[in-house]
Amino acid sequence: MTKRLPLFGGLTVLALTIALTGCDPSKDNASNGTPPSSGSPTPTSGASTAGTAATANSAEAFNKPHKATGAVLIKVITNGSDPFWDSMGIGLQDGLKAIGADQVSGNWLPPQGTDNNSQKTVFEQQLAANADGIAVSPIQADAFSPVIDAAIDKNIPVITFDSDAPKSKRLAYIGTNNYEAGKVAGEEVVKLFPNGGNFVAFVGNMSADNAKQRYNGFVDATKDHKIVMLQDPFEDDKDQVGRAHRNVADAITKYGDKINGFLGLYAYNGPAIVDEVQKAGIRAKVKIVCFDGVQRTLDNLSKGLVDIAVVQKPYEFGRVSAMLLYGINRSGFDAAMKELQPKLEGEGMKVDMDKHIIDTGVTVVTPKNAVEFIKALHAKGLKST
Amino acid sequence: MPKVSNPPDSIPATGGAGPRKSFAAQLLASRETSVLAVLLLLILGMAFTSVSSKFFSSANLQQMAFQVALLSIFAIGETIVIISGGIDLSLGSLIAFSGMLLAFLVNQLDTRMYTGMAVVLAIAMTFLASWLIGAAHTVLIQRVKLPAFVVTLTSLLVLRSQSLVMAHHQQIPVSQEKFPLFNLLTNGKLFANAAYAIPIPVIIMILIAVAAHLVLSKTRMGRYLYSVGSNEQATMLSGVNVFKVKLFAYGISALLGGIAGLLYMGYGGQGDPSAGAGYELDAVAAAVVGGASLTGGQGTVMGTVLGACLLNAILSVILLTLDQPDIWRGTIVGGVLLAAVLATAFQQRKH
Repeated sequence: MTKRLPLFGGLTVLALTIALTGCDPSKDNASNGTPPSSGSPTPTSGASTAGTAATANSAEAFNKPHKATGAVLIKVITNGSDPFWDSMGIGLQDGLKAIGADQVSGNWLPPQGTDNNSQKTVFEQQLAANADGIAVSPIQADAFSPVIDAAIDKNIPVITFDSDAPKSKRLAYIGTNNYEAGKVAGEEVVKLFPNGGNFVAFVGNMSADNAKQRYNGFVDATKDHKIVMLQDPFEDDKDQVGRAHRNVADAITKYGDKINGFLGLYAYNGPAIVDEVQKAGIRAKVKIVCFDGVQRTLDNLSKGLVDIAVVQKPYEFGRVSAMLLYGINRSGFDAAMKELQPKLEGEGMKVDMDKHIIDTGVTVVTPKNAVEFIKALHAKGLKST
Repeated sequence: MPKVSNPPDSIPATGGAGPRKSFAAQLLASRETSVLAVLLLLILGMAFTSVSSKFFSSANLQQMAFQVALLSIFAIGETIVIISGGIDLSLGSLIAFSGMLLAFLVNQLDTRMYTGMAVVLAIAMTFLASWLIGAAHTVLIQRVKLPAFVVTLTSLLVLRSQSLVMAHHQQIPVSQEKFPLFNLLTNGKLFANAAYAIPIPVIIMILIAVAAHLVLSKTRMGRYLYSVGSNEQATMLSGVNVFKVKLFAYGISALLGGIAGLLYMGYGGQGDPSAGAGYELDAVAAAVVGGASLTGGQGTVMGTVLGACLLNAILSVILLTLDQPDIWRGTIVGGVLLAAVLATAFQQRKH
C-alpha cells in the first residue's frame, strides 16, 4: 500500500461534496406552493373527477341491502400495527356493541409486512372468510385500488379509512382531512405569532400523502401571515428514535436562534422535538406545535412542554366504519349515508354526500385543556389517540 | 478468555495488524490512516466554507461525537463478527428488543423492590438475554451448520416482531424522574459546563473500543478471530476451538447490541419497538469503510470507529450545505461506501 489510497479516497469524497454543494437543489416550490383542490383530503393529480365518477357508479349497485338478515361480519384492515390503531380498535368494538352482538361482529387486523402485497394478502383472506364488509387503510392507494375494485365487483362493500384510495371504487372514505388538520395547526400558529416567525418542520416522509397534506394545509394557513418555513421539512424515513431526534438537533445547529417554532408532522416527531429542545435549553425561546395524541405528547402537554397538539380521532374511524358497513348491509349505501349524516354532523363531523367522504375532524389540545382531554381518553380505556 | 488446549501460536494472521511489519510502515499502509486522512481533509475543507462556525460549534461537535458513539458501540460488535468471517444482521432489531425488554423489566421490577436494585437487575437481565441471543446464533451457525446470514436474518425478523408483541405494539415509557440513570447514561455529559463537554456515550464507546482493540491485537482470542475469519478449516485443524471463538464474536456483538439498546431507550425516553430499524446495515457500512472485509479475516476497531466518524461527518456536512439533505443522504453515503470498497479492491489487486 502506498499513499495513493488516502489521496484517492480523499479526492472522491471532496469531489462528491463539491459537486453536491455546487448543484444546490433549490427549494422545490411546486411541492408546497400548489394549493390542493378545496376541501378534498387527497390533492393527488386527476383523482377527483375519475374517482368521484367511479365511486358514484359503484355506490349505486349497493343501494339495495347487502345482507338484510342474519349476523353481519365486519373486518377492518390497518396499514400496520401502530398504537394509533388501538383507539380505532376500541372505537370499532364500541360501534359494534352499540349495534348489538347478535346483529354484527368484527375485528381489526394489521398486514404482516409494510408493503402493498402483504396488505393484499390479508385483505383477500378476509374476502375468503366471507366478510360482509371491509374497511381498509391502504398502504399504497393506487396499487391497492384494483384489489378494492375486485371486491366491489364481487358485491362486497368496501370503504377506506385514514388513508383514501380515490381512484378505486371504494364506497366511502372515513378519516381526518389532513389538509384541514394542517390548516387548523397553521391557524393556531398565526394566533401564537401575530407578528410572524420562523419555523422548521419534521416528518417521516414527505412523499406520503398525509404528510404533504398536513404540510400544505399548514403553509397555506400561515404563508400570508409572515410565518416562514426555513427549509423543506427534515425527513427521518420513520426512524423514530435515532434520526427523528438527530434531525431536531441538526436543525438547531443549522439555524440556531433563527428558529421561533418547531412543527412535528408525524406523531413521534413531537416527543423528539421536545427532547432535543429541552437538551438545548431553548424551550423558553420557542413554541412547539405537533400532530397526534401519542402518550408522550399527552404527557408533554400536561407538563406544558408542547404548546399545541392537533389530535385526530382514530376512535371515530373504527366506530363510524362499524356503523356505515352495518348500515350498507341492512339498508343499502344511500340510505345508510342519509341516516348517518345528521347523526355524525351533530357530533361535529363533516359528511360530504357527493364525494362520500366523512371527515371525523380534529381536536386542538393545549396545556390548558390537556388534563381534561386525557381524563376523557382514560374514560374510554385509552392511553393515547 | 477461553482456555484452548495445545495453543497454536504460529497461526498466520493474514489481515489486520501483521506483527512483522514495522510500526511506521503499518501506520502508513493501514486503512485507518486513509480514512483518517479523508476525514481530516473533509474537516479542513469545512473550515473554508461559510458554515464553518456552525460545523465547528460545540453543539454540533458534541452531537457528532454522540452519534458516532451510539453507532460505534454496536458497529464494533459487528466488526468482530465480520473479522471472524460471519455477519450479524440482528443488531437493529436487537436494539429495539433489548430496549423494550429493559423498559419492561425496570417498570415491573420497580413494583417489587428498591428502585436502585430494580435498575441494576433489569440491566443485568437485559444484557444476559442479549448475550444468550448471540449464543443461540453461535449454536445454530456452528453446531447446526446454518449460514450466519440466514440465522441472524431470522433474528432480525423475530426480535422485531417480539418487540412489538411485548407491549402489544405500544412503546413502554420509562420515567426520567424515577429512573434518572438511563437519561444520564444517554444524555449526560462529562464536564457538562465546559465548552467541550463530552457526552457520556462517547466515554462508554471509548472504553468499549479500547477493550475490543486490546482483545483483537494483544490476546490469543484476537489472533484466533482473524485466523478463523481467514481460513476456518485450517484454524480448526490446528486445534483451535472454533465454536468458542465464534461464541465470543456473536456473544460480544449481541451484548454490545444490548448496550446500544439501553442507550437508545434512554435517548427516546421509552422502549420503542420501532427503534434501530436498518441500523445493522449502518454498522456494516462503518466496518467496511473502516477496512473490514465481508469475506472475513480483516478489520480493526480503530478502522470502524473512524468509519463511523467519517460517515457522521459527511452527514453533518450535507446537512449544513444542502437544502434537502435527507434526499441526498443515501446517494452520498452509498458513494462513500463504494469508494471504500473500490479502495479495498485496488489494494488487494496490488498484492
